[in-house]
Amino acid sequence: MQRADVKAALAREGTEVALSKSPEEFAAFLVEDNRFWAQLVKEAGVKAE
Amino acid sequence: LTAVAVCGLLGAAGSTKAQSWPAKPIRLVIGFAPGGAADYVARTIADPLGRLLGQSVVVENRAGAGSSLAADFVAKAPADGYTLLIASPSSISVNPALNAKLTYSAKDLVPVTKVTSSPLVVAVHPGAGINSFQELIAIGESEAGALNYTSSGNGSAPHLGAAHFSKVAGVEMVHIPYKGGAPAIQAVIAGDAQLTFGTPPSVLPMVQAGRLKALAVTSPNRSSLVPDVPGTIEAGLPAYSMSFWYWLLRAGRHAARGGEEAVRCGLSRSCSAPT
Repeated sequence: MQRADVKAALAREGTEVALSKSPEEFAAFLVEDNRFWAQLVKEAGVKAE
Repeated sequence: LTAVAVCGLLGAAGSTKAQSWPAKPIRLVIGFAPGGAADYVARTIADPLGRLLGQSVVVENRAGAGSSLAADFVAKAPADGYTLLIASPSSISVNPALNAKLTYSAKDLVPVTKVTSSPLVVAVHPGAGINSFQELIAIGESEAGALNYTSSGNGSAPHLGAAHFSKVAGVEMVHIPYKGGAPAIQAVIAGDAQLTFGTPPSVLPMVQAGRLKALAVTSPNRSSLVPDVPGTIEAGLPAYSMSFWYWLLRAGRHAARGGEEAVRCGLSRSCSAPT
């Protein structure tokens, strides 16, 4: 996924390659990110449909 | 000790096991129909990933229930390294927060790596009289409800991103949800609403055509995707940041078996391989 052609192809769709250093680092990030999005849902006052 | 070093050691010690996986094609499941961003990301990485692993990686679209269907499928699949999921915050974080009766647990999905990140683009109608992110905040502060924004639906990334901005900036805005990103952007172009927090592929062509004006991207720094638009630090609201991700996860409901390390390290190494 570090390949230049892969990066260029993804950039066309408006997104950048952003790999984790390790599965462990990603797992730790997910815990934080999960909290962040849950907070966003609360802030936005979105109710389940 | 870094995870890479751990993988290196285990790879050498358990080489017989490491060679046993992958022995058959790998499924890469996504929760959306062909044609969308998730599908595009999956199809872009499937081929190079398959070549590195020495097996084909087959994209499987399982659309439905806001990507929950695909997450449910992978969460319940055997944890043998042959079922992967391209997921976004929707399936891992937003749906569980929205829906207490979710049929899967995000804990049954094992993290492999982040794959991509995109900021949202804060875009206004060119005739709205809003020339910068600072002006947007100033107008919002001057009168509650002076600003209205569109989104692709309740609970969508554009909705949550804008609601978070309201909170951080202390600006009250009126939310106008549409069914999908295209009508949400069209409403701003038509002048029915002032602004939207849109995804780069939906907003940028309109910015280039002069039909929308981009004030900022929602990442802390400028994005190489839109190099002439400031990030939130430069735009004067460093406390605000929101990125939308695509992640790679794998089925992990069942206890780790003999091949677990081969799968974990093989995937991790292949994903970060430079060539």
